[in-house]
Amino acid sequence: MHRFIIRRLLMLIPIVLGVSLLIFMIIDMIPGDPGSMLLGAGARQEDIDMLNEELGYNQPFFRRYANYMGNAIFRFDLGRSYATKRPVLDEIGNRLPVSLIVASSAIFFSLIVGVPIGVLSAVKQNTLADRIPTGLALLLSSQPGFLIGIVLMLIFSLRLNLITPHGIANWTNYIMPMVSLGLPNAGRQLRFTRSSMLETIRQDYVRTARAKGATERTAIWRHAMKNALLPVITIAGNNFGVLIGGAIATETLFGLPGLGSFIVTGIRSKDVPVVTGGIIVFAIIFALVMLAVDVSYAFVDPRIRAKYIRRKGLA
Amino acid sequence: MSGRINSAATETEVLIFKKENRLKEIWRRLKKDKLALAGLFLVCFFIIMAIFAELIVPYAAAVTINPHNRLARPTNEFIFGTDGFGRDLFARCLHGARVSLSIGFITAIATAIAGSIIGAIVGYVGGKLDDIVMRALDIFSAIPSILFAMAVVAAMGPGIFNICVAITVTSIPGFVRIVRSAVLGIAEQEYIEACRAGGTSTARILFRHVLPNAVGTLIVNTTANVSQMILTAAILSFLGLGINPPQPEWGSLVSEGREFLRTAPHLTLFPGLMICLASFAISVFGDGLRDALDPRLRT
Repeated sequence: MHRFIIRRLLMLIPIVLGVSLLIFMIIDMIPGDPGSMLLGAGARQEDIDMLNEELGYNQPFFRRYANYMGNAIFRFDLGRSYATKRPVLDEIGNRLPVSLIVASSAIFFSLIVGVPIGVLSAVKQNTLADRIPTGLALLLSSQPGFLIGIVLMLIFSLRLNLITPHGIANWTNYIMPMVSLGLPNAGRQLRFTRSSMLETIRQDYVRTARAKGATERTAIWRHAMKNALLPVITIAGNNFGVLIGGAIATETLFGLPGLGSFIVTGIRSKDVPVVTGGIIVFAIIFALVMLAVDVSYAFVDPRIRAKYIRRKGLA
Repeated sequence: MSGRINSAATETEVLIFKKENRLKEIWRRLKKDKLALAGLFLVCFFIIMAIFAELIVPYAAAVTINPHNRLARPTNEFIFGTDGFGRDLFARCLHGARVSLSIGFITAIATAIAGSIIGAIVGYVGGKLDDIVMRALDIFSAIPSILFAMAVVAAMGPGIFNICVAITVTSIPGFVRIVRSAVLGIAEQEYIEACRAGGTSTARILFRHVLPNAVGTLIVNTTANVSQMILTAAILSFLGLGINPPQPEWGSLVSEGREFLRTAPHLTLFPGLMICLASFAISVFGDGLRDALDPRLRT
């Protein structure tokens, strides 16, 4: 198990190097230079050149990349934003909690709503109690979060005046982002739980549990669901990772200062350290989340745990 | 010699016959699924409206500014009302459908073609090539695809073509993974081994025997991709990266309408409804198609 975790952590190194190089290259292809973008259209060429030199932007591409990655790896420094001059790592430190709260609350919401209803749909397959939730789930899972967000905003902020639609001043500000990102995910979770449950219910060990005299409730909720949850965990983990950096439309809509909108402003102003730093942090978090998902498999499923132990014994 | 030609002819005939039968079988199963049929009907309706948009309302109505008739409520003349510049919102939604739907279909098909070729080669050849490509894909999947697409659009500049390129490039890695795993399963089958033993060339095995057997997976994922990509394009233009104004696109219409959310919510709700319906219709149809293509997958 430890070997597995260490190997996965080591794999992070090439991924971070590759991701940063790729992003560095794409951002470099954005037309214009940061100097003229920061100073605006009326600036003198000398000022622009001076600012570019100050930012280190006049150096050749590979030297800039090598400098940046050297600082990132050996000094744990992701550079300073061209626009605000503030250290990127500090800025990310301020914004990451917002993204984490939004992503984890949305995933929590989607699991609370999606999993129990998904299990019920599977148990009551092809009845009305199955058809209506699965239909709704399909509708929700094909919607973008920002659309649901706009409708929520219209109802709860503009008509009912219950929640201010902007910023993070109050915990109630997190409710609408949670629901608008959570609902499409809940739809997906419901569908995954349902299909995974349908497979598991027919397995022999569930029949064995019933034959042993377990009540229907124990057979479904204890024996079947525990195994049906495996794919659900993977999807939840993956969605959680994506939401940390990818909920940009919803973050913009609700004015949340999260990681995604930080990277977006960086892309808009060709702020190379902001974009590269943001994506590196995202890539590391995403890899750690997926590692946690894989490790959690072993806790849920004894068959997988046994595999690790056997591998260790052989090695 | 003539015998060989003859047997080749019958082989093709059998293939065609089999194909026809299979299509009929799929259609028969699809017809039973009322929800999927409704989805298909709605998708066709959207496509027809988009194709004949110019005949229904000329494009000029979608871009002509009319300050005297700003923010009108829906009436008989303007059934969706007018926007902040007095432009006919129905015309904008209709011509926006052209842009949004073409982006969705073009990118999904381009992704499918590029993704299946790469995925099939990587999955079938395996070895070092597989290792290298899979590690490269790990790198791509460590970047949120929407941010990746955004950076590519920023680098290439706005415009429909560039959006298509950005979305395609960012969605190929996911598709390659799917095709690769499908191909890995097929390549182990005995009939592929028989082909190889019979001296069939690798290219022929790939494109005549391996890929056709993965066609179900390809179609299902491509259909799902169409709605996914309409949403991605909508998000990009919602964030102001994408279409050049005043050209309408569903996402940018939603974003334009946001300004008037309090006073004229219909400006946001109508284009929003378009995104919602189109994406739902495609997903419903895609779901039904998946069940019809492979009843074993039915849940």
